[in-house]
Amino acid sequence: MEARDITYQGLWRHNPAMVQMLGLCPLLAVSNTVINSLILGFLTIAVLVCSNTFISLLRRYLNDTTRLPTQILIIASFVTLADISLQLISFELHQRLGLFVALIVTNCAILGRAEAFARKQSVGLAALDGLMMGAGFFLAIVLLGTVRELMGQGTLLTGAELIFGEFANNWEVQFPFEGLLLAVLPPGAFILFGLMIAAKNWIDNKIEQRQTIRNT
Amino acid sequence: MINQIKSIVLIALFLGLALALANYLASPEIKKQQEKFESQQLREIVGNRFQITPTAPLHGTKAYTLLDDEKVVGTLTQVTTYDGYNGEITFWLAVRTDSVPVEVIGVRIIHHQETPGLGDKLELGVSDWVLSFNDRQFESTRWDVRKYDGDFDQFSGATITPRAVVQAVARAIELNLEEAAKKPGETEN
Repeated sequence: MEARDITYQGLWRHNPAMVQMLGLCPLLAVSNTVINSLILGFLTIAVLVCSNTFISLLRRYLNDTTRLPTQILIIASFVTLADISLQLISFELHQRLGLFVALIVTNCAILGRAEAFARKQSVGLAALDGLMMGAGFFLAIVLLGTVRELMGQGTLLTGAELIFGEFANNWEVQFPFEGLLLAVLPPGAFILFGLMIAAKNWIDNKIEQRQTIRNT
Repeated sequence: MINQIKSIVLIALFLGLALALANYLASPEIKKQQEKFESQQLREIVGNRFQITPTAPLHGTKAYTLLDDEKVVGTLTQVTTYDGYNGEITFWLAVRTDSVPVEVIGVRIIHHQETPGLGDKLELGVSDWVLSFNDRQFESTRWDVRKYDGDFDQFSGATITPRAVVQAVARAIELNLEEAAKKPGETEN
């Protein structure tokens, strides 16, 4: 496994959200605005990098009987830390997203990476894998959040001041159309996410076709 | 087996201690942030005219007394209604009780789960509807939405949500008045 390989796997080929379909609960629930998506995506990266690193450090002490509970314990601890940090950064944001931050524990992408990668690999590779898999999730949720906010409310970056402070007060972009309610609601999230996966598969197919043509 | 148990117990102990430490270090700052957030919210409704002092909970919810130069001029209470479209709607209600007739200072929604895009016009960020409570006199206002001959706008596609809030405000003020009538000259305690 090399670094380039890990990057490609995390961001595209085995993208945790769009290919492995992991962590859909937070992905669909929180992606109603860009800012919410950014925060949840960022916290997921942080938790994934920390838990992967920690689990890789302890990999000699993990055994078959107690491995899973230990990994969940570690992940839950880092999620709690992320939760505390978010309260320190912006209490208002925590009021809005608090429930979903706790739910990062149940994001199977994180346990999946611990189980499939971190517990067998060196610390550096495990951390990189966490970063790239997290970034893959981040890209998916931010893309979905952008599309949903644009279609659903006709705005972008509502609430930017909650994370970027005062000078982001006028970052919000208002587009000259009424939002489509469906995009805000959970069914719209499912439909748009389905379309995103379809688009990714279409691109993959195109690439594959081109390669077969070149090979023959 | 013993070794396996030992490793998980040790890891659990270590993580538990680390979290306890983090919590210990962070909690004063979080508490400060929380108080700042709440007082900001209250100030937004009441403005800077009055002092806000906490009183004993009224009907089991948070309550404050508004003072102007040590004199009680109104109340600020947290009200919850279940008449909305989906679960609880909780809001702050500030009322001037020293004026006759009794006058609403303002209403601010804290928490709701109404339909996004329809019922969420309750939120100040989404529409200005909630400001239509400002300075309403209790007796001369018809506490209902226009569809039912009231003084308040309904939302297109959602009548239940605004109606629930309007009626809850009226009920809460009425309760406030009854309470005040029961023990004249006293503040609620």
